[in-house]
Amino acid sequence: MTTTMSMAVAEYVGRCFEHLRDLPQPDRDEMLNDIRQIVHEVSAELEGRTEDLLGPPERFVSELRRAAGVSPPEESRAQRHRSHHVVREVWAKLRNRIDIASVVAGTSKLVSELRPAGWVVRGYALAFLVGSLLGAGWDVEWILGVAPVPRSEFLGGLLTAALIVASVLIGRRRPAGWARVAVIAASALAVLASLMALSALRTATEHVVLGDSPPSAIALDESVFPITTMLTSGTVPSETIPSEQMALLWNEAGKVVQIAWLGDVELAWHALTGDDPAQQLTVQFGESVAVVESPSMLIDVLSQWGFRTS
Amino acid sequence: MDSTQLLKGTLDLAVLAVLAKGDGYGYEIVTELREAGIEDVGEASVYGTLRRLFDGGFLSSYVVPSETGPHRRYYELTPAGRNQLAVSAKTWRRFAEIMDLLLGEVDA
Repeated sequence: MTTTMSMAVAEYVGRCFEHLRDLPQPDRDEMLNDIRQIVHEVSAELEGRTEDLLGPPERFVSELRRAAGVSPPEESRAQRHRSHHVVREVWAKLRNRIDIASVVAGTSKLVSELRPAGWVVRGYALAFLVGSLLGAGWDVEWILGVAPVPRSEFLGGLLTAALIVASVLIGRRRPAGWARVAVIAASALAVLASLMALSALRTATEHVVLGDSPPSAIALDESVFPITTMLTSGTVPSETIPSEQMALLWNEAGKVVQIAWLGDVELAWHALTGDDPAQQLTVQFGESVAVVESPSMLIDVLSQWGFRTS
Repeated sequence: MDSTQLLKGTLDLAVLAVLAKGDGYGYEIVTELREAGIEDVGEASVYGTLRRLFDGGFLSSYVVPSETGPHRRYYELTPAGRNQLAVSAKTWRRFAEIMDLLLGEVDA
Protein backbone atom coordinates (compact mmCIF):
# COMPACT_ATOMS: atom_id res chain seq x y z
CA MET A 1 0.00 0.00 0.00
CA THR A 2 2.79 2.37 0.94
CA THR A 3 4.51 1.49 -2.30
CA THR A 4 1.43 2.22 -4.38
CA MET A 5 1.08 5.55 -2.67
CA SER A 6 4.73 6.38 -3.23
CA MET A 7 4.33 5.51 -6.87
CA ALA A 8 1.35 7.83 -7.18
CA VAL A 9 3.38 10.58 -5.58
CA ALA A 10 6.38 9.92 -7.80
CA GLU A 11 4.40 9.88 -11.01
CA TYR A 12 2.31 12.94 -10.35
CA VAL A 13 5.24 14.92 -9.00
CA GLY A 14 7.28 13.84 -12.00
CA ARG A 15 4.69 15.23 -14.35
CA CYS A 16 4.47 18.45 -12.33
CA PHE A 17 8.24 18.74 -12.60
CA GLU A 18 7.83 19.27 -16.35
CA HIS A 19 6.04 22.53 -15.66
CA LEU A 20 8.65 23.77 -13.20
CA ARG A 21 11.70 23.27 -15.39
CA ASP A 22 12.12 26.95 -16.11
CA LEU A 23 12.54 27.83 -12.43
CA PRO A 24 15.91 28.18 -10.72
CA GLN A 25 16.76 25.00 -8.86
CA PRO A 26 16.14 26.11 -5.25
CA ASP A 27 12.66 27.39 -6.13
CA ARG A 28 11.93 24.29 -8.15
CA ASP A 29 13.03 21.97 -5.36
CA GLU A 30 10.95 23.82 -2.80
CA MET A 31 7.88 23.71 -4.99
CA LEU A 32 8.44 20.02 -5.68
CA ASN A 33 8.57 19.50 -1.94
CA ASP A 34 5.27 21.31 -1.54
CA ILE A 35 3.71 19.22 -4.30
CA ARG A 36 4.98 15.98 -2.78
CA GLN A 37 3.51 16.99 0.53
CA ILE A 38 0.14 17.88 -0.99
CA VAL A 39 -0.07 14.67 -3.01
CA HIS A 40 0.91 12.64 0.01
CA GLU A 41 -1.70 14.26 2.28
CA VAL A 42 -4.45 14.11 -0.31
CA SER A 43 -3.87 10.47 -1.20
CA ALA A 44 -3.65 9.55 2.50
CA GLU A 45 -7.05 11.12 3.06
CA LEU A 46 -8.99 10.37 -0.10
CA GLU A 47 -9.37 7.38 -2.39
CA GLY A 48 -8.80 7.76 -6.08
CA ARG A 49 -6.25 8.70 -8.69
CA THR A 50 -4.12 11.70 -7.82
CA GLU A 51 -5.07 13.36 -11.06
CA ASP A 52 -8.78 13.07 -10.21
CA LEU A 53 -8.18 14.55 -6.79
CA LEU A 54 -5.90 17.41 -7.76
CA GLY A 55 -6.57 17.94 -11.44
CA PRO A 56 -4.08 17.70 -14.30
CA PRO A 57 -0.49 18.53 -13.27
CA GLU A 58 -0.32 21.44 -15.68
CA ARG A 59 -3.31 23.19 -14.13
CA PHE A 60 -2.21 22.30 -10.63
CA VAL A 61 1.26 23.77 -11.11
CA SER A 62 -0.03 26.86 -12.83
CA GLU A 63 -2.34 27.53 -9.85
CA LEU A 64 0.53 26.96 -7.42
CA ARG A 65 2.76 29.31 -9.36
CA ARG A 66 0.08 31.96 -9.70
CA ALA A 67 -0.55 31.93 -5.94
CA ALA A 68 3.17 31.93 -5.20
CA GLY A 69 3.73 34.86 -7.53
CA VAL A 70 6.26 32.96 -9.65
CA SER A 71 5.93 33.88 -13.29
CA PRO A 72 4.56 31.10 -15.49
CA PRO A 73 6.61 29.74 -18.40
CA GLU A 74 4.86 31.97 -20.99
CA GLU A 75 6.13 35.08 -19.27
CA SER A 76 9.67 33.78 -18.96
CA ARG A 77 9.58 32.99 -22.65
CA ALA A 78 8.50 36.55 -23.33
CA GLN A 79 11.37 37.77 -21.17
CA ARG A 80 13.81 35.60 -23.08
CA HIS A 81 12.49 37.06 -26.27
CA ARG A 82 13.09 40.54 -24.94
CA SER A 83 16.63 39.74 -23.83
CA HIS A 84 17.30 38.22 -27.24
CA HIS A 85 16.27 41.52 -28.74
CA VAL A 86 18.60 43.42 -26.40
CA VAL A 87 21.52 41.18 -27.39
CA ARG A 88 20.89 41.91 -31.05
CA GLU A 89 20.85 45.66 -30.43
CA VAL A 90 24.10 45.57 -28.49
CA TRP A 91 25.70 43.49 -31.21
CA ALA A 92 24.61 45.96 -33.90
CA LYS A 93 26.15 48.84 -31.92
CA LEU A 94 29.39 46.94 -31.38
CA ARG A 95 29.66 46.05 -35.04
CA ASN A 96 29.50 49.70 -36.00
CA ARG A 97 32.36 50.54 -33.68
CA ILE A 98 34.77 47.76 -34.53
CA ASP A 99 37.60 48.59 -36.91
CA ILE A 100 37.84 45.63 -39.29
CA ALA A 101 41.54 46.16 -40.13
CA SER A 102 42.63 46.03 -36.51
CA VAL A 103 40.53 42.93 -35.97
CA VAL A 104 42.33 41.16 -38.84
CA ALA A 105 45.75 42.21 -37.53
CA GLY A 106 44.82 41.08 -34.02
CA THR A 107 43.54 37.74 -35.28
CA SER A 108 46.70 36.87 -37.20
CA LYS A 109 48.76 37.75 -34.13
CA LEU A 110 46.47 35.56 -32.04
CA VAL A 111 46.83 32.70 -34.53
CA SER A 112 50.62 32.78 -34.34
CA GLU A 113 50.44 32.92 -30.56
CA LEU A 114 48.12 29.96 -30.53
CA ARG A 115 50.39 27.85 -32.74
CA PRO A 116 51.91 25.86 -29.84
CA ALA A 117 48.40 24.95 -28.69
CA GLY A 118 47.80 23.69 -32.22
CA TRP A 119 50.86 21.42 -31.91
CA VAL A 120 49.44 19.93 -28.73
CA VAL A 121 46.08 19.34 -30.39
CA ARG A 122 47.88 17.70 -33.32
CA GLY A 123 49.67 15.38 -30.91
CA TYR A 124 46.37 14.39 -29.41
CA ALA A 125 44.92 13.87 -32.86
CA LEU A 126 47.88 11.62 -33.71
CA ALA A 127 47.14 9.61 -30.57
CA PHE A 128 43.61 9.04 -31.81
CA LEU A 129 45.00 7.93 -35.16
CA VAL A 130 47.63 5.61 -33.72
CA GLY A 131 45.20 4.27 -31.16
CA SER A 132 42.82 3.23 -33.89
CA LEU A 133 45.63 1.73 -36.02
CA LEU A 134 46.88 -0.32 -33.06
CA GLY A 135 43.52 -2.01 -32.82
CA ALA A 136 42.30 -0.05 -29.88
CA GLY A 137 39.58 0.84 -32.37
CA TRP A 138 37.77 3.97 -31.51
CA ASP A 139 38.26 3.19 -27.89
CA VAL A 140 38.54 6.75 -26.82
CA GLU A 141 39.09 5.89 -23.20
CA TRP A 142 42.22 4.00 -24.10
CA ILE A 143 43.62 7.00 -25.93
CA LEU A 144 42.66 9.44 -23.21
CA GLY A 145 44.47 7.24 -20.73
CA VAL A 146 41.38 6.38 -18.75
CA ALA A 147 40.68 2.89 -20.08
CA PRO A 148 39.20 0.57 -17.47
CA VAL A 149 41.84 -2.11 -18.07
CA PRO A 150 44.91 -1.43 -15.92
CA ARG A 151 48.28 -1.11 -17.71
CA SER A 152 46.60 -0.59 -21.09
CA GLU A 153 45.36 2.64 -19.57
CA PHE A 154 48.92 3.54 -18.65
CA LEU A 155 50.15 2.66 -22.13
CA GLY A 156 47.50 4.75 -23.80
CA GLY A 157 48.29 7.73 -21.64
CA LEU A 158 52.04 7.31 -22.23
CA LEU A 159 51.58 7.09 -25.97
CA THR A 160 49.42 10.18 -26.00
CA ALA A 161 51.98 12.14 -24.00
CA ALA A 162 54.83 10.98 -26.29
CA LEU A 163 52.97 12.01 -29.42
CA ILE A 164 52.15 15.43 -28.01
CA VAL A 165 55.83 16.00 -27.19
CA ALA A 166 56.84 14.82 -30.68
CA SER A 167 54.30 17.10 -32.31
CA VAL A 168 55.56 20.11 -30.37
CA LEU A 169 59.19 19.28 -31.21
CA ILE A 170 58.39 19.02 -34.93
CA GLY A 171 56.48 22.29 -34.77
CA ARG A 172 59.43 24.11 -33.16
CA ARG A 173 61.91 22.89 -35.75
CA ARG A 174 59.85 24.35 -38.64
CA PRO A 175 60.62 21.60 -41.19
CA ALA A 176 61.17 22.63 -44.84
CA GLY A 177 60.77 21.02 -48.27
CA TRP A 178 59.44 17.47 -48.46
CA ALA A 179 59.50 17.13 -44.69
CA ARG A 180 57.13 20.06 -44.49
CA VAL A 181 54.72 18.44 -46.99
CA ALA A 182 54.86 15.17 -45.03
CA VAL A 183 54.14 16.94 -41.75
CA ILE A 184 51.19 18.82 -43.22
CA ALA A 185 49.78 15.61 -44.72
CA ALA A 186 50.21 13.73 -41.43
CA SER A 187 48.58 16.58 -39.52
CA ALA A 188 45.62 16.66 -41.87
CA LEU A 189 45.21 12.89 -41.56
CA ALA A 190 45.46 13.09 -37.77
CA VAL A 191 42.88 15.86 -37.59
CA LEU A 192 40.54 13.87 -39.84
CA ALA A 193 41.03 10.79 -37.67
CA SER A 194 40.42 12.75 -34.49
CA LEU A 195 37.23 14.20 -35.93
CA MET A 196 36.03 10.67 -36.62
CA ALA A 197 37.15 9.60 -33.18
CA LEU A 198 35.34 12.53 -31.64
CA SER A 199 32.10 11.48 -33.27
CA ALA A 200 32.81 8.03 -31.86
CA LEU A 201 33.36 9.69 -28.48
CA ARG A 202 29.84 11.04 -28.61
CA THR A 203 28.48 7.59 -29.22
CA ALA A 204 30.87 6.18 -26.68
CA THR A 205 29.67 8.39 -23.85
CA GLU A 206 26.11 7.55 -24.74
CA HIS A 207 26.61 3.84 -24.99
CA VAL A 208 29.73 2.89 -23.13
CA VAL A 209 29.08 0.19 -20.59
CA LEU A 210 31.07 0.24 -17.42
CA GLY A 211 30.89 -2.25 -14.64
CA ASP A 212 29.47 -5.68 -15.43
CA SER A 213 29.85 -6.95 -18.95
CA PRO A 214 26.64 -7.78 -20.79
CA PRO A 215 25.31 -11.32 -20.48
CA SER A 216 26.41 -12.98 -23.73
CA ALA A 217 22.95 -14.29 -24.55
CA ILE A 218 21.56 -10.82 -24.79
CA ALA A 219 22.48 -8.74 -27.78
CA LEU A 220 23.42 -5.18 -27.16
CA ASP A 221 20.90 -3.08 -28.99
CA GLU A 222 21.94 0.51 -28.91
CA SER A 223 19.01 1.71 -30.90
CA VAL A 224 16.35 0.53 -28.48
CA PHE A 225 16.66 3.14 -25.81
CA PRO A 226 18.13 6.57 -25.54
CA ILE A 227 20.61 6.97 -22.74
CA THR A 228 18.98 7.56 -19.41
CA THR A 229 19.97 10.79 -17.90
CA MET A 230 19.75 11.41 -14.26
CA LEU A 231 19.19 14.77 -12.80
CA THR A 232 19.55 14.99 -9.10
CA SER A 233 18.76 17.82 -6.78
CA GLY A 234 22.47 17.91 -6.05
CA THR A 235 23.17 17.68 -9.80
CA VAL A 236 25.52 14.74 -9.62
CA PRO A 237 26.51 13.95 -13.20
CA SER A 238 26.33 10.26 -13.97
CA GLU A 239 30.02 10.26 -14.94
CA THR A 240 30.97 10.76 -11.32
CA ILE A 241 29.47 7.48 -10.18
CA PRO A 242 32.25 4.95 -9.52
CA SER A 243 32.33 2.24 -12.18
CA GLU A 244 31.72 -0.55 -9.67
CA GLN A 245 28.35 1.04 -9.02
CA MET A 246 27.42 0.99 -12.64
CA ALA A 247 25.75 -1.97 -14.17
CA LEU A 248 23.60 -3.06 -17.02
CA LEU A 249 19.89 -2.78 -17.04
CA TRP A 250 17.69 -4.54 -19.47
CA ASN A 251 13.99 -4.40 -20.06
CA GLU A 252 11.37 -7.11 -20.07
CA ALA A 253 11.99 -7.78 -23.75
CA GLY A 254 15.57 -8.68 -22.89
CA LYS A 255 17.00 -5.66 -24.62
CA VAL A 256 20.02 -4.29 -22.88
CA VAL A 257 19.92 -0.72 -21.89
CA GLN A 258 23.18 0.75 -20.80
CA ILE A 259 22.66 2.86 -17.80
CA ALA A 260 25.21 4.69 -15.82
CA TRP A 261 24.61 3.18 -12.48
CA LEU A 262 23.04 0.46 -10.33
CA GLY A 263 24.09 -3.06 -9.65
CA ASP A 264 23.48 -2.22 -6.07
CA VAL A 265 20.68 0.29 -5.90
CA GLU A 266 21.39 1.11 -2.27
CA LEU A 267 25.03 1.85 -3.04
CA ALA A 268 24.17 3.91 -6.08
CA TRP A 269 21.60 5.76 -4.08
CA HIS A 270 24.11 6.75 -1.44
CA ALA A 271 26.63 7.72 -4.07
CA LEU A 272 24.10 10.05 -5.62
CA THR A 273 22.46 11.48 -2.55
CA GLY A 274 25.53 11.69 -0.37
CA ASP A 275 23.61 10.08 2.50
CA ASP A 276 21.46 13.16 2.90
CA PRO A 277 18.13 11.73 4.08
CA ALA A 278 16.21 14.71 2.73
CA GLN A 279 17.72 14.25 -0.71
CA GLN A 280 15.50 13.16 -3.58
CA LEU A 281 16.37 12.10 -7.07
CA THR A 282 14.71 13.09 -10.26
CA VAL A 283 15.00 10.17 -12.62
CA GLN A 284 14.36 10.66 -16.27
CA PHE A 285 13.92 8.03 -18.90
CA GLY A 286 12.91 9.23 -22.33
CA GLU A 287 9.75 11.22 -21.78
CA SER A 288 9.07 9.87 -18.31
CA VAL A 289 10.20 11.67 -15.23
CA ALA A 290 9.76 10.65 -11.62
CA VAL A 291 10.92 12.10 -8.37
CA VAL A 292 11.95 9.41 -5.93
CA GLU A 293 13.07 9.61 -2.37
CA SER A 294 14.31 6.16 -1.49
CA PRO A 295 16.13 3.24 -3.12
CA SER A 296 12.99 1.14 -2.99
CA MET A 297 11.00 3.84 -4.75
CA LEU A 298 13.70 4.03 -7.36
CA ILE A 299 13.40 0.30 -7.98
CA ASP A 300 9.62 0.64 -8.21
CA VAL A 301 9.87 3.40 -10.75
CA LEU A 302 12.46 1.58 -12.82
CA SER A 303 10.47 -1.62 -12.88
CA GLN A 304 7.38 0.35 -13.91
CA TRP A 305 9.36 1.61 -16.86
CA GLY A 306 10.10 -1.96 -17.87
CA PHE A 307 13.60 -2.24 -16.40
CA ARG A 308 14.95 -5.22 -14.61
CA THR A 309 17.80 -4.29 -12.34
CA SER A 310 20.77 -6.62 -12.33
CA MET B 1 -21.06 35.76 -7.98
CA ASP B 2 -18.28 33.23 -8.16
CA SER B 3 -16.75 32.95 -4.71
CA THR B 4 -13.38 31.89 -6.18
CA GLN B 5 -13.02 35.43 -7.58
CA LEU B 6 -13.58 36.88 -4.11
CA LEU B 7 -11.19 34.37 -2.63
CA LYS B 8 -8.31 35.43 -4.87
CA GLY B 9 -8.17 38.85 -3.23
CA THR B 10 -8.69 37.64 0.30
CA LEU B 11 -6.80 34.38 0.61
CA ASP B 12 -3.73 36.15 2.03
CA LEU B 13 -5.84 37.57 4.80
CA ALA B 14 -7.57 34.25 5.45
CA VAL B 15 -4.27 32.40 5.67
CA LEU B 16 -2.76 35.02 7.98
CA ALA B 17 -5.87 34.81 10.17
CA VAL B 18 -5.59 31.02 10.47
CA LEU B 19 -1.91 31.29 11.38
CA ALA B 20 -2.67 33.95 14.00
CA LYS B 21 -4.35 31.17 15.98
CA GLY B 22 -1.21 29.07 15.94
CA ASP B 23 1.50 27.65 13.68
CA GLY B 24 0.40 25.28 10.96
CA TYR B 25 1.54 23.43 7.84
CA GLY B 26 0.01 23.73 4.41
CA TYR B 27 -2.48 20.93 4.38
CA GLU B 28 -3.62 21.71 7.90
CA ILE B 29 -4.38 25.28 6.84
CA VAL B 30 -6.28 24.00 3.79
CA THR B 31 -8.40 21.84 6.08
CA GLU B 32 -9.07 24.71 8.50
CA LEU B 33 -10.13 27.05 5.72
CA ARG B 34 -12.49 24.41 4.36
CA GLU B 35 -13.95 23.72 7.76
CA ALA B 36 -14.46 27.45 8.24
CA GLY B 37 -16.64 27.43 5.12
CA ILE B 38 -14.30 28.20 2.22
CA GLU B 39 -14.96 24.76 0.75
CA ASP B 40 -13.56 25.27 -2.71
CA VAL B 41 -10.16 26.56 -1.70
CA GLY B 42 -7.47 24.65 -3.61
CA GLU B 43 -4.36 23.08 -2.13
CA ALA B 44 -2.20 24.71 -4.75
CA SER B 45 -3.58 28.18 -3.95
CA VAL B 46 -2.88 27.81 -0.25
CA TYR B 47 0.61 26.36 -0.66
CA GLY B 48 1.48 29.02 -3.20
CA THR B 49 0.14 31.76 -0.96
CA LEU B 50 2.19 30.43 1.96
CA ARG B 51 5.30 30.48 -0.17
CA ARG B 52 4.68 34.03 -1.32
CA LEU B 53 3.95 35.28 2.21
CA PHE B 54 7.10 33.53 3.38
CA ASP B 55 9.16 35.16 0.61
CA GLY B 56 7.66 38.51 1.60
CA GLY B 57 8.86 38.10 5.18
CA PHE B 58 5.38 37.78 6.68
CA LEU B 59 5.97 34.18 7.73
CA SER B 60 8.86 32.18 9.05
CA SER B 61 9.01 28.43 8.81
CA TYR B 62 10.45 25.29 10.34
CA VAL B 63 10.43 21.70 9.24
CA VAL B 64 8.93 18.86 11.23
CA PRO B 65 9.69 15.33 10.01
CA SER B 66 6.67 13.11 9.48
CA GLU B 67 6.61 9.38 10.23
CA THR B 68 4.42 8.55 7.28
CA GLY B 69 5.43 10.89 4.49
CA PRO B 70 7.43 13.90 3.37
CA HIS B 71 8.40 16.35 6.07
CA ARG B 72 5.97 19.10 6.98
CA ARG B 73 6.90 22.73 6.72
CA TYR B 74 5.23 24.65 9.53
CA TYR B 75 4.63 28.35 9.15
CA GLU B 76 4.55 31.00 11.84
CA LEU B 77 3.61 34.68 11.69
CA THR B 78 6.53 37.09 11.90
CA PRO B 79 6.04 40.55 13.49
CA ALA B 80 5.67 41.89 9.94
CA GLY B 81 3.02 39.21 9.34
CA ARG B 82 1.09 40.24 12.44
CA ASN B 83 1.25 43.85 11.36
CA GLN B 84 0.06 42.93 7.86
CA LEU B 85 -2.80 40.94 9.34
CA ALA B 86 -3.88 43.90 11.50
CA VAL B 87 -3.78 46.33 8.58
CA SER B 88 -5.55 43.96 6.17
CA ALA B 89 -8.18 43.06 8.77
CA LYS B 90 -9.00 46.74 9.21
CA THR B 91 -9.27 47.28 5.47
CA TRP B 92 -11.44 44.22 5.10
CA ARG B 93 -13.81 45.24 7.91
CA ARG B 94 -14.28 48.71 6.46
CA PHE B 95 -14.90 47.21 3.04
CA ALA B 96 -17.37 44.68 4.45
CA GLU B 97 -19.28 47.43 6.26
CA ILE B 98 -19.57 49.42 3.07
CA MET B 99 -20.76 46.36 1.16
CA ASP B 100 -23.31 45.64 3.91
CA LEU B 101 -24.61 49.20 3.67
CA LEU B 102 -24.86 48.97 -0.09
CA LEU B 103 -26.59 45.63 0.07
CA GLY B 104 -28.76 46.58 3.03
CA GLU B 105 -31.92 47.01 1.03
CA VAL B 106 -31.37 44.18 -1.40
CA ASP B 107 -33.25 40.95 -0.90
CA ALA B 108 -30.86 38.04 -0.70
